[in-house]
Amino acid sequence: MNLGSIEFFVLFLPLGWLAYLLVPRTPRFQNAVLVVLSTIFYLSWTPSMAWIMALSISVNFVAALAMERLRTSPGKHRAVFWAAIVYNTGQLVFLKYAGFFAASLMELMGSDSTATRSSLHFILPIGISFWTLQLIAYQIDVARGRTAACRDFLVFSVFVLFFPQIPSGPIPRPHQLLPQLSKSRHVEPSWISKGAAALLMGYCLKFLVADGIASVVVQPAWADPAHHSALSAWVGLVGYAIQIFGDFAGYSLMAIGCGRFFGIELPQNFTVPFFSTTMADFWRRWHITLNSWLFDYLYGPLLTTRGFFRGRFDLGFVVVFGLSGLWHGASWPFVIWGFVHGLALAIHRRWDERLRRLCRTNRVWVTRRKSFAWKCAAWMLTQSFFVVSLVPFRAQNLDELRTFAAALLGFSQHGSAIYPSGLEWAMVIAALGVFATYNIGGTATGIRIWKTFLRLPAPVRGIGYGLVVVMLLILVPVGTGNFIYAQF
Amino acid sequence: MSDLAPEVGSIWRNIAMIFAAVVVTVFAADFLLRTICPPIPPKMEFSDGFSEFVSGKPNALVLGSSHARAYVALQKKVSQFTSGQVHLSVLPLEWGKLSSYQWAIENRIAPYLEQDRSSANPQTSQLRHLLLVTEWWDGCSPDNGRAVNIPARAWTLKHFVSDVIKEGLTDFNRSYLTSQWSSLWRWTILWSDRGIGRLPRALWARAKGAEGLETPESYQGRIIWWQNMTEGAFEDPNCKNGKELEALDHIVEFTKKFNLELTVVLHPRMPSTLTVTAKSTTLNRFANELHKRAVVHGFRIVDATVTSPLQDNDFMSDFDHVTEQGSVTLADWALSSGLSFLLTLAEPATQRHP
Repeated sequence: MNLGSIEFFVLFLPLGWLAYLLVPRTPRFQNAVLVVLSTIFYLSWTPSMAWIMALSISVNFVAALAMERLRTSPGKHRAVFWAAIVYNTGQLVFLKYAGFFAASLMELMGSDSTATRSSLHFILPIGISFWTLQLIAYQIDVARGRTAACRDFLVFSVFVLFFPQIPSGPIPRPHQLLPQLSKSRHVEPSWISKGAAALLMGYCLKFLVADGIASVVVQPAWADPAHHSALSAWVGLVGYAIQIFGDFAGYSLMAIGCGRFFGIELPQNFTVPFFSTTMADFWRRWHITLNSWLFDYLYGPLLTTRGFFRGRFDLGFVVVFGLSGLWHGASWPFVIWGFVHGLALAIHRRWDERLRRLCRTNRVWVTRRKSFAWKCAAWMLTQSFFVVSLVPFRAQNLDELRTFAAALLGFSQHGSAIYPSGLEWAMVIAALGVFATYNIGGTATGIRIWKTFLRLPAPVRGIGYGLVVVMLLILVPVGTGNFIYAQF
Repeated sequence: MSDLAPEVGSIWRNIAMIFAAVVVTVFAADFLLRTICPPIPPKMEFSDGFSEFVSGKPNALVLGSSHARAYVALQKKVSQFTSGQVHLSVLPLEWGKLSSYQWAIENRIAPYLEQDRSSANPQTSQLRHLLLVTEWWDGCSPDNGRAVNIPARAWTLKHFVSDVIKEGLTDFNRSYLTSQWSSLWRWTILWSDRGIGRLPRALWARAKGAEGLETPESYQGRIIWWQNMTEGAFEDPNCKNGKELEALDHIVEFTKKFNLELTVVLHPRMPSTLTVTAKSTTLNRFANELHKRAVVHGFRIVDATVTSPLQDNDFMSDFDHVTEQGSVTLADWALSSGLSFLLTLAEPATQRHP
């Protein structure tokens, strides 16, 4: 069951919400309902792996309490902290990467790795990559005294298990979620309308934009890149950039919308990343909760603590983004993807330093930097780089990466084009319209239009929402809806 | 708080009004859209065929994927030519593969036959033939190892519950829920058309005329897609692994157990979608595998893949399914060639066609 499935919309969400509204408005009852709902939701994915999640919650709950109690004994405090970090990291590494590392090692030694890969290929508990980071952040925050250890097991269970965030985040920080869960929540009507709007926009982004573009231009271009022209490959690649944005930003909005129905605000995960004019800016707007996690818990400590990496900012970028690539999936194309992004950030940092020096010495550079042409070029460079970097991200293996790259450069064997029909183009245009609406919504004009819409009489707004639902029903096939990020 | 109360109350009223307006808009839109594109009558599904099979006294069973629907014309022709003495039951299992047919046989058909034949007055005593409608694609195992069509098309509630208890709610068993939910809304165009696309095409045709629906390039592109797909299947591990053909062996065992004659019909393909390479590789490999088994087990093969008189215009716009007129042409051809024995089933069982 995912956030876009019929049983979620028809049964799970309405009945769960009703139960939530009917229980006494105390944290204990409300959290108990959320734990039951989240457990049902979790069991609907990987029931055989539920014990791993239960064990993780218990171990982390106890470890944080122990750390707090041992604060006066630094040695023991440190030992518990590292034990918790090793437990969380080890679990993720073993379940997700054991097969990949063992097979890569065997390939390096020239042996056949197929059997090793399949024998160490485990069913992953859903969302393990997301909630592991959440738990590591919790342990670090408790160890550093930024957050008090949670003393209520129910609250802690909801913190980890809260169903909208389980499959693909956002990755909330302890200080963002734990205080909300410790208090009783009043489900304000304004939250319901904000939640419904986020849910509807998320649904449109996922099912209209991501899935619509995927079926018309992305899948045909990627299914057989050796047979496609350079133009088709480029259309397929740009389409994939929009698809992956719609898929993940759509999911994040749906999760945020669901959270609001229960009076809980999850952190934002995207703020119009396609407006970015530098890669650093891009990563501040794309998958915000992951990237801020990487910078706060990995990059920062790596560069500021005494050791080899101290002050090596560029190497830090490469290492952190290499790990980010690996986090996305246990395969070499993901590592390459992370590496090139790390490299891009390093190059950008150096360029930015140089530019700042130039600006200090000659004011002409300040004028140039503020010019429209400069901004256009910077935008074009940033977005082009992001789009091209998706080739290793989308490729299943190094062979596919090579084949698609060859198609992009016009070296495909046949060079035929993808030919969507007029109607399919119309659907792509509808999808791009929604994509543009989302992006315009991030501008001052968009916000003004939205506020004007909200001032309209309720029935008029209802008709507007109803027409969006009609459009979704016309254009979105039933039964679609696996989220790309749920596999990470 | 008392100042806030009316405001909160009015917000709830607003939400209720918005919700009501959404519902009214959606149903009003559906009403209007039904005048442009009325919902199509439900297609014949496995459950419909199975009900007919259980209630009738069939002489032959036709089992296949959605392609089996084309054999309803054959059913009518046979009935017509034999003055209603020979009855065919058609069981179309949408998106079926050989393993899906095996599942349907072992979990739906065989249990019924066992129960029926142990009764005092069996309904299926006349049943002598199984016509298995197949093609190369049915020999390619599904990616996740389980044929995804079974829950939606052949399961009963009992199968769903037992699978959920065993596996949890999975994408596989969810399709049972989806199909049941969808069946409640068959009367609406907005829901019943989801995934079919008649409504967007009808709206497009109304706005722009029918021409824009398919350009020569998009038509040719789709032909090439089919050609590449069929050729590519020769190297596809799912099509090479032979797992689906093991299902055929189980189907043969079933026919032996229930004393049925098996005829494997290789369903026609749209001529333009087949290249010389596809014929000599993918299609040839599948046909050869069938012929090898036919020699061992003694079943009949009617290969209509390219030998039937069907032309491109006898196929629907999906390039896959045969049109109503094409189905009649196919039935006439089949009854004058490989399936002519069906017309002899009216005779006493002892004089059956060998």
